[in-house]
Amino acid sequence: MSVENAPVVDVDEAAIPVEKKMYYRFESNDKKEFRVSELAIQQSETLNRLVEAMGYTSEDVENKPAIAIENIDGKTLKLVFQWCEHHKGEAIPVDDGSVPKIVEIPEFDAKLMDIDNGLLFKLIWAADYLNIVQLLNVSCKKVANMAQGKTPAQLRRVYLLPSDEEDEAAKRAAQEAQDPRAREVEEEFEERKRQGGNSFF
Amino acid sequence: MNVVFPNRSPLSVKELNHVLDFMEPLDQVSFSLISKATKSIIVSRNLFAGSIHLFVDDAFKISMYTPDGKIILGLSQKNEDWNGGDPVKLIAADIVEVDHETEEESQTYQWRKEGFGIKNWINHIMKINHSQSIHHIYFYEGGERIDIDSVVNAIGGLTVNYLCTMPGCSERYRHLVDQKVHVENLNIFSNTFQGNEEIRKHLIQNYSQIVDVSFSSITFRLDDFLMMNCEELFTAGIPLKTANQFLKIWRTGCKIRLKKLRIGFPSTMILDKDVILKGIAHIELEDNAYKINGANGSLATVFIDPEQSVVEFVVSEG
Repeated sequence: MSVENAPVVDVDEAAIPVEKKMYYRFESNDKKEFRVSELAIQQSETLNRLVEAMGYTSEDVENKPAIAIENIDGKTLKLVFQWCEHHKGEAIPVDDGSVPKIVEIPEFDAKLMDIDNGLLFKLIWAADYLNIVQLLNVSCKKVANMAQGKTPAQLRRVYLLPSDEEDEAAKRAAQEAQDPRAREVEEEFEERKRQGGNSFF
Repeated sequence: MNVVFPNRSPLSVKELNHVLDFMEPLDQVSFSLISKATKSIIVSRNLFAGSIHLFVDDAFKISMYTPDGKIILGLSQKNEDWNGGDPVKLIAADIVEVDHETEEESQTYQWRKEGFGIKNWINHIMKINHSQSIHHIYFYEGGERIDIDSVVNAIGGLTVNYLCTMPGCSERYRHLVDQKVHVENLNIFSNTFQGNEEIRKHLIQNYSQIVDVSFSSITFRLDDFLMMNCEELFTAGIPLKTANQFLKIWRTGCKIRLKKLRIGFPSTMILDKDVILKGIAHIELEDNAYKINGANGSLATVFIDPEQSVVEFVVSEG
């Protein structure tokens, strides 16, 4: 995808120092490209370290290929970078260890996260792996709020969590995938039981 | 340059833990009931660690504390239409009523957990609280409608620290509870009893600890200490002079099982050390702590705490 056609995140030009206006280019796993300001990148500890280590000049940023972020799709990455641009320059909160943590969801963030649960979970995942502390906080708060007053069965559906039976079935499937012989042994055992044998050996 | 992140699945344990950091305690209890995996996440978070209480009233209930208040779960059917006839068997509720009480409000929810009986619920609550025992079991007047044997069966195998029969229970019911429910310790609510003689029957039983929460309505006599079988007694019903007499008897080496005696007094009362230790040789260890020697090398410390209006006697040796 060409840079011209790439979805561009709205940028607050006034908030960026003129002399240090550098935009990094990132590419999602579905080949969508984003230009993100240096200041916005600072919200992500992971990306900030990465660009620092790369030491790109303004020319490098334009001439070298976009930095590909695999396993994060364009839809999620767009939300991430929109959030980073909106909150650029803000202090990164420090975890004081208190639980339950208290965080207010600003209006902009609430609108940004007015999305389906699947995308919201992807946003949490992306915020965690890109280490964007405040985005992780607000997205987790939003998901935690979804639990209010819910029964265990309702919570299971909201969070798409497996039941005990599903967990056990998945465990068995994983074991069998690792060791195909295990299934053969089990089948042989069942067959012998059907034939009335007392002992497998 | 390519940055590779691990493949994602619906919220991982790590991400769920982030979410749980923002979740209300009641919702975390609900979350713990989804599956064994979610229970284990909640257990590992160590959020809950308070005492657990059981209540036998018109229904069988369990309570636990949360950082923001208390949760009470009604585990059995209510038997509201009981007409005073034969007690009914304890039957697990299909839908558990959950009362969440905080300083600001009290709300009721309804939870269901397929395949969960009363014992499963109790064990679950104990597990997420890291609790090895039930702190109290309270029997109320309304509990008479529930068959006591089915209550005993529901708590069978559990360690219950304290038994409390609450005021309002009939004498017949109280006797039945005493007879059937065996626990380590006893809380006494004096107006449950007909008189001091009734209470004395409990003093000679093999409870490890007796806590008299009747606040001085029981008058303890010197004889009571001699026949008492418990090791610890917390009470408020002992005059300073009787406490002094008790210490004198203890010093003679008289066979007293009591190892710890804590006596509360009205906050207006002056705890005169000279009355408490009158005629007893003692060494002042520190402020308001006095060592006294008993027979055969036994040793005890008397603590006088004027701020809490409490006198405590603790045997350290012998």
